[in-house]
Amino acid sequence: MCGIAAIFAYNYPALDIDRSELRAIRDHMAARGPDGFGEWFSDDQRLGLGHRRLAIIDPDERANQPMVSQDGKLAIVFNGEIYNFRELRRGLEQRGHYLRTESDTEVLLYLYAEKHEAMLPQLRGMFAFAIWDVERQKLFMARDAYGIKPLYYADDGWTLRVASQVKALLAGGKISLEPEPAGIVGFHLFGSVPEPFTLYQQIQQLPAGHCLWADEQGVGEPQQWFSIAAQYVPAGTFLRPGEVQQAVTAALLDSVRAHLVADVPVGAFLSAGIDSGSLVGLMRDAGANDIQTVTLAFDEFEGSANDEAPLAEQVARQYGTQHTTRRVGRQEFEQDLPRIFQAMDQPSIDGINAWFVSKAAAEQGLKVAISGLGGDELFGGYPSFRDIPKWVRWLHLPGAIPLLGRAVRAAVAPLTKPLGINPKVAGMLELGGSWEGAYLLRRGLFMPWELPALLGTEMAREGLRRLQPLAWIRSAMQPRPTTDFARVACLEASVYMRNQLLRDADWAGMAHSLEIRVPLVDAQLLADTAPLALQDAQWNKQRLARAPSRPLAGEITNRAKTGFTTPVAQWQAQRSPQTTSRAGSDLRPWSQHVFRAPASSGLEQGGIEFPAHG
Amino acid sequence: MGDAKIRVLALVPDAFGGYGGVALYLSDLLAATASNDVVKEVVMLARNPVPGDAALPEKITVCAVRGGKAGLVLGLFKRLAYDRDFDLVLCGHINFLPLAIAAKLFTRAKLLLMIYGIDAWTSPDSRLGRWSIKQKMKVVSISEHTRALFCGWSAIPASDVAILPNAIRVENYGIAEPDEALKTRYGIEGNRVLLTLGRLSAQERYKGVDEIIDVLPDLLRQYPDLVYVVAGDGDDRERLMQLAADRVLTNSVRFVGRIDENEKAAHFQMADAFAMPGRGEGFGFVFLEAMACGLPVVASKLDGSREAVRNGAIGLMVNPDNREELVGTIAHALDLPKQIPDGLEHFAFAQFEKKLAAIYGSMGLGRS
Repeated sequence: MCGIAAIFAYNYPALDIDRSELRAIRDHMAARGPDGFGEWFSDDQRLGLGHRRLAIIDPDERANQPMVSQDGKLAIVFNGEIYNFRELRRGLEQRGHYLRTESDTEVLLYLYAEKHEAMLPQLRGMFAFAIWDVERQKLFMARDAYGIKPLYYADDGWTLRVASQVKALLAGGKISLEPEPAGIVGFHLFGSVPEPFTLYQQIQQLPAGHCLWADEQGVGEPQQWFSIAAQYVPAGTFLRPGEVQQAVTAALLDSVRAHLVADVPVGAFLSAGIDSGSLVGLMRDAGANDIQTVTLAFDEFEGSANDEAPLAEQVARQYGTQHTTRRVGRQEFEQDLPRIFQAMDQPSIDGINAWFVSKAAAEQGLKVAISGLGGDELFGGYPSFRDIPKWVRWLHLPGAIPLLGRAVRAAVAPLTKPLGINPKVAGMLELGGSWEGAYLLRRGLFMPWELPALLGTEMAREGLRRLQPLAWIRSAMQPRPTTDFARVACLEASVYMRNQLLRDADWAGMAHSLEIRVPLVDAQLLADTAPLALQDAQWNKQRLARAPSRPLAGEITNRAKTGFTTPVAQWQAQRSPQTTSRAGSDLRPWSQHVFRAPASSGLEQGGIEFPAHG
Repeated sequence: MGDAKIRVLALVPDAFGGYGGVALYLSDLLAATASNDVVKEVVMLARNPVPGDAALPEKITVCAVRGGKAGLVLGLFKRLAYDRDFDLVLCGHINFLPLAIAAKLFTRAKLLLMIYGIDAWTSPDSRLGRWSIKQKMKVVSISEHTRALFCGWSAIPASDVAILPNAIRVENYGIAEPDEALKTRYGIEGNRVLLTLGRLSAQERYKGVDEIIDVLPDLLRQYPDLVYVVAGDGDDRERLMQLAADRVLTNSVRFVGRIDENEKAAHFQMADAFAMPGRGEGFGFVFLEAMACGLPVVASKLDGSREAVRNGAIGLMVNPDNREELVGTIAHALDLPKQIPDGLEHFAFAQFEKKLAAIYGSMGLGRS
């Protein structure tokens, strides 16, 4: 896993790159890569690459980065894992290449040399990398299909700076702290900062499934090479119900097997839910027989029905894992909070669970852990899969009457606070009739009309203008999927999972030098299962639960329907100033606490002022 | 020259022989366009008539129009009535954008807009202006400072805005002994000279002259022989002169008015340091000129002039709001020896030409 950094002084009047700046950016990411570090500079001092390494595949020093091709024509820094690298390597060797290392990094170099950006669809895994092409004097950057690994860049018109974290770029000290209203508004609407925006105008996230070129002329537009929505196309052949399960099982097993590729032990997070339990079962089926599992449990719940520990332990026994239950209490939460905010790269209303479970796994000596993240998006586990299509059906016609929705919202919005009802109610008619509007209602933290009071009129208006939240959400359904399920699946995977869950998993895992692997977030698995999801009337989590050769017990598969809670929300609520409306999500006050903590947003150092609370 | 085929229609406020930074920049831009192998002809329409004695590079044709914006509009449509075979419409100022879009529609050419400073920092007031910026185009900005502000209000992504700073022809400047006759003209023989050169506009008030007058008493304590020379004219000159008089600084400040182009280098050469710690410079070509004459320069951290001094690498930078910093930095500049800084050559005209050719190449206009 690792942290990558690059500085490219592409414009002729730009100063030569500053080595100490590159080192400052790189070393801010020390936790991402405690096993090694390196740097590489072009002869003319116009380009530098930096790397911090968490060694997982070919831990030998020969695989350290930046890695330069044998002919000296390419140099790479890479964060992530290419799970099919052995297969790709064989192909390269058959085509006459001689590879020096056993690493996936070197495979990327040769694939790039063969086909440039056309290499990307061949890669199975999570990745963000930058390749300097000495001959063409171009820097090539790319990010994986789902956006599991982050890649941020800042272009000041003279020099391009690239890193795995926003805060690392800031640590270099040369980036403007001018706030980005779209990022700030996005955080308040969604609870996470929506890509490609960050809290800073100069820093952008390279969108998931995109690549980017930069040369002496400047930084180009990101080019899309993968679209989740495009995977939801009907298959040519229809399978019988029995065959569907067989196909799902095969696809899941294939993904899990791929995700076990490592030269260090691969553990797993285990909860009492279907996703993680099934994955542990599939790990066994894939041949892993010495699995370390970790469950997060809470002091507050000990002995109650909400305690996940007993059921998780039951699953661990079923699959014969070395199991650890790690209990966390309020006190530890309070103690860790400053470090959590420090590690949080961009503000997020979530990620606390990910922090503690990563901490627990690292305490067990694990460097890699499998997580069930993505199961809800793939198999329709969220209530949104039920609610959103229903809202759109009911509200589509009344919502189409010009200005009616806005008028109703304007009349009702001021009443929601005194009446103590959810502020979203006011916007049902205005937003609920379109897919993107209904999604904003379902997942939204604050509603657009609440923002002026929180952020000031100017910031709210400017942020909404720049973000265009509805158009931004709609872009996740491009090309337009044909079924209700597929539309919600695209929205959940491209909006919530990408910007919230995957970002949280990245910063929380990396803070503990732990690589979190997500077999349910896999482009190949999606390509294999999306056509099935379109034709299968029984497409739900049970498909996942039935996949292991020894399926999960009924207590687990049925419990999941009731959902589970953690006391984290309660701790968060107690830490937050109770000044915003009590109606709406519990996370609303917490979001303000996160946002105004200088360590998490850093904006206060940038000197922007927000209206006082309340 | 065999495959020169691109024809360019340029709409500019003024260029060759015109006064001010924009005219200078556009002269270089048009010259570099004309020198490009793939360009066959540049037809230029200028709002302000081009002086008859202006030296025009090869391949540039001036399309005579009556002065003023109305004259430009009329001239453009008269030209388009019989000549629409253009590949590129070059819009030399954001105020001409609606007109350039009309030309683009008639010619089906590509559109390239130039932006400089405060003209492009905020959204246009007129509805037409705001509409025009939503059309498809490539943009060239004189600085990152201007690009960032421009991208902040317009919906144009930064990747569509290339940065092309001013070029300097170092050979036209150089370090030389002060012209004593010039010093005599201003009554500053034997004095140490701090220079500012720029348009003194009441509306803009951004050159930092107020700030320098404000700290001048502190500087005079250190350098009793110091004289502050303000070159340039404009409707703010009266107020600034009054300000100097109110501070009883009349003996130490000279407002010398607008300088003839051919005396410019001599003015730099008679000074000991150049300072313009303002807030509104898009780039600040004048800093390059001062440095090309070997002057230590003091630029502002708050505008595009920080790019002219390459972020402090070849010139000094101050925050004009910080009085102490201003005094200290100007004093330091006055102490420095005259020297053309290493790194000024990054702004050489050849680099400018090369980058512009690359921009045209990226727009699909012939070879890059």
